[in-house]
Amino acid sequence: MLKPELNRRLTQVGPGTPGGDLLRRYWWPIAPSVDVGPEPLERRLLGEDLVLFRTREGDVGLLERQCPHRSTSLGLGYVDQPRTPEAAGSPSGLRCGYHGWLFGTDGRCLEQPGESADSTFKDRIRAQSYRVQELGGLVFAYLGPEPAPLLPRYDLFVWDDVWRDIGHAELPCNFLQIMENSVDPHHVEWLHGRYDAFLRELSGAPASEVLTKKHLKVAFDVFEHGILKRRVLEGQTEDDEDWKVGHPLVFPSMLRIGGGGLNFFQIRVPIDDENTWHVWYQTYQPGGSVPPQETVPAYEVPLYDSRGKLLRDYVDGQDITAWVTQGRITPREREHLGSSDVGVIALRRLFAEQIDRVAAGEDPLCTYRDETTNQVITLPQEKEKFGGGDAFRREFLLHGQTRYSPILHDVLALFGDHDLVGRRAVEPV
Amino acid sequence: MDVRSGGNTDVRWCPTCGSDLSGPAGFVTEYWKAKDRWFLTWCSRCRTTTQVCLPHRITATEPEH
Ligand code: FES
Ligand SMILES: [Fe+2]
Ligand SMILES: [Zn+2]
Repeated sequence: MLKPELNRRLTQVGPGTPGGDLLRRYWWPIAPSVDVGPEPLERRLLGEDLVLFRTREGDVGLLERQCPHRSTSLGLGYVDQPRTPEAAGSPSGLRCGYHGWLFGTDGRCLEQPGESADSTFKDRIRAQSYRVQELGGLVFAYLGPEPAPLLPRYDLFVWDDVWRDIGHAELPCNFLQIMENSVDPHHVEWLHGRYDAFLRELSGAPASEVLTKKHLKVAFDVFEHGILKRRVLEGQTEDDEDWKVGHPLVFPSMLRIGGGGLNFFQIRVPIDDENTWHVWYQTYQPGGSVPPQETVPAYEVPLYDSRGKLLRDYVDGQDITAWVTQGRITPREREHLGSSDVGVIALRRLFAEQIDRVAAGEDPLCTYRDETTNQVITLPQEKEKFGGGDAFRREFLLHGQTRYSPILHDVLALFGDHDLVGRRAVEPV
Repeated sequence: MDVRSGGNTDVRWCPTCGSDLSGPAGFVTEYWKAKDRWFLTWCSRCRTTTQVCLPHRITATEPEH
């Protein structure tokens, strides 16, 4: 049970709110690199409306969405070369589709076709622009105060000899209840174990052996990257990697899991208080070298079946259904926490603490300002997950959201899971 | 027993330094262990985490004798 004021404090993401001030101290993924081109994308991040585009020279720009002229969305725009003799030879920018004002990636207004050639009006106009960087097939944005911290080079973003793909979906709920799921190991055996077994029984399929194992013990340690989770499952001891190594919730917004050469992040990007862009960032590492990937493919994860019901016949659909049905911002004043919810409480406490740190003028957890510690940030994570890495990978590739990946069958072949290639991953709904 | 305390958390002051935790920045969250009510607090003034128990019954374990 949480008092309503505290629930608001922990869930608000907009500018000028304590939570929003904390979240603005981090770099956020804003789109897969492959999706960013000359036609601008309208994006919303931390309650701010933005447009994202790539110039002809390959630079990515991120501007406020409303044109400084008369507020039409710059989403009604296009990447274009400057046309005045004065600007000839300058790099391309984003031209508003309404009256043709042209903006550079730095927000400077380069042209106003309706004004006379000798006008200096444009020099007084600037669209708000934000910092962007590309890493590992994602475009990251920073909306916070200067000096900006470094974009953390977490291992999965920078590893060589892996394939990658990126699934994503917009979920109609606040980011914090999604993060709470990442410190709630018990749900695995119930939601993905028993509930899933119930559904499979209805369709005549056998239950998963990987996900129904009982939890004997769980622990949560706050550490330099966030919260390290450990568990002992039935049949295991504290010498198993699930306990000895565990896996992290990376503060403030990522979960890192994996096993058997499939390692991934789930990244929860606050769109606004009531919506979250969820990114599933996979790396596939069979060992040894793999043929290079030209680009990192991206795909959308569907939420609903043909009758408008939230899909729940696979692991991530079950999670999504749990999160979304908790309500846009789950009413924590009416919850009943038990002793199995201590991880959730630990996470809320960590958020409250970090909000206070930022309010006191300090850098929050997971701020990187030193290049030497940001070459590759290696995160701890068990390899023999749930007592068997290969079984975990085989289960997750077909029964996780990767079932929607355009490269799923190539990935199965990459791992030598030839018996699964061609298997219909998406069950009829 | 009604387990809902209706937003009234009963724990208001930081057990370590005595600061008022009732404002929006005061972190108090309630959970249950069997019949005991527990509260975890975080105080932004002394930066301490505490756990407070409102026990249904005080129990003790006795060593072998
Ligand atoms: S049993 Fe946990 S939300 Fe219902
Ligand atoms: Fe889950
Ligand atoms: Zn105190």
